[in-house]
Amino acid sequence: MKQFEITEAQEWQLFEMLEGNLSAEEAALLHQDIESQPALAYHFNLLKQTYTSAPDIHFPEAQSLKKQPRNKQVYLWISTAAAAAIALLLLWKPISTLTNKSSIEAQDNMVQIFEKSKLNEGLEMPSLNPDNASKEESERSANTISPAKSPATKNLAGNFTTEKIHPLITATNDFWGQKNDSQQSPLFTKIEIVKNATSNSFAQHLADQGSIGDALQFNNVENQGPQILPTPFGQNQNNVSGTETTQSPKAKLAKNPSPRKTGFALAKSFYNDGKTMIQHGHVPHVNIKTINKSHSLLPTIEMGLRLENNVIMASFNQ
Amino acid sequence: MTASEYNKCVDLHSHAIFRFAMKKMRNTDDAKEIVQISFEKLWMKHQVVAFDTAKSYLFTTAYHSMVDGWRSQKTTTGLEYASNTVEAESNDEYTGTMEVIEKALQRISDIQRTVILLRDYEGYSYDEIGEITGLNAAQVKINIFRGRQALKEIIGNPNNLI
Repeated sequence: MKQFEITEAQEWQLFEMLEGNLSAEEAALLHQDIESQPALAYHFNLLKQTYTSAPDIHFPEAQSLKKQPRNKQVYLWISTAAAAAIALLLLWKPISTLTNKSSIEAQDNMVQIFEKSKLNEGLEMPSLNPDNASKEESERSANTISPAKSPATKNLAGNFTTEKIHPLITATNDFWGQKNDSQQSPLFTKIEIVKNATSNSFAQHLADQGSIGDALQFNNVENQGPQILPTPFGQNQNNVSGTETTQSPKAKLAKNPSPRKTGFALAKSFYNDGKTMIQHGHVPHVNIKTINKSHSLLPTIEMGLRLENNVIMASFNQ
Repeated sequence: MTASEYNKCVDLHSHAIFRFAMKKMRNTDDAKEIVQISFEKLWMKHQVVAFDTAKSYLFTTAYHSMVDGWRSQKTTTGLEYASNTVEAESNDEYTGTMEVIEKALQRISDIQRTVILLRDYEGYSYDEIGEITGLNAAQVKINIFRGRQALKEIIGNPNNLI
């Protein structure tokens, strides 16, 4: 085999050519040398055989390595718990924004509201109670729906009373009290739209949605802008246009004595209110922030809401 | 990287990782374990590892896992190692030159085998192989050259395999 020996430099040149590191001209010259020198050709052929191709081997358990996407769709059917949770989530941002409290305090209050709503199946709106109506009327006419005065904000302040409050009404009243902060919440935008809507068609559109009118009523009272008044559940307030501005809330409440709501009726109102908000493009995404007993924030979960076939669908993404 | 991108990585790279591990570990079970470890680590880091760099991450992880496994394997008894090797070799069905090359690959050093496998099977550049193995491009190139020289000697004289 001695006659087939080549120098390391020649071997390195063969290697460079097979690796594709030589230019076309250099490769052509080397090919000429290979054809003229049997030793070079011998080593070239051997070196060429060291280049292997990938064998046809497949990993048999590839499917077991795959993961399920973490976004899982959860169907929230009309149930007390699910509807209350949706209402809680929809109200989270406005309350946190408007109460001039720290986010921790706001969250704590929301948890308290939620827990209270869970404890009281037969929730009742205090404003529907004729005994409380005069008090609320005076508060509204003075346009001083401050957090400290309304029953709703008593709850927000953490000072619970024995009154049972619809959380949506609670939050909306409180929100309305901070109307100058309109840029901070989509809810206010919605209220403004209703306020400015003079055409009956728009009012009828809202009424057709069967939601806003089910739980809330928008009135203009003495040029003070729209007031958001709770209305009895189960009674559709189809007329939400400005034609009702001459009727005082007290008179309306007297006309509509408060029925005692069942848990199902409350859940339905939660659902309808949430549904309308989503239909109108409000709160498509909600950041769910929860706290534990020691008021420590848990990791935020993003919740996307959309409406499909009258079912509120939520996608969670941590 | 999203979960769907991760799943795409499984489709694209799991076979290559398994093939690479099989050639280095010479044991099916060990190779499967290397693949599972590599993808588990990728999943744990899927929020920071981009889809484009996932292949390199997988090979790097697999390589280091194999190095660790190879080190620990040195501590096992010779009998266990021999039985595993026999099992792996019995699964191979190569004949002729391919069989000689396959056996010759087991005779060269671990780093030379690694760089040649990455170069020939996956078509990685010197730089990419360097990222996986922790070598620089020049070291990768010289290891490939030395490895091929050794393979050439074995192929030129098959008696070296006996």
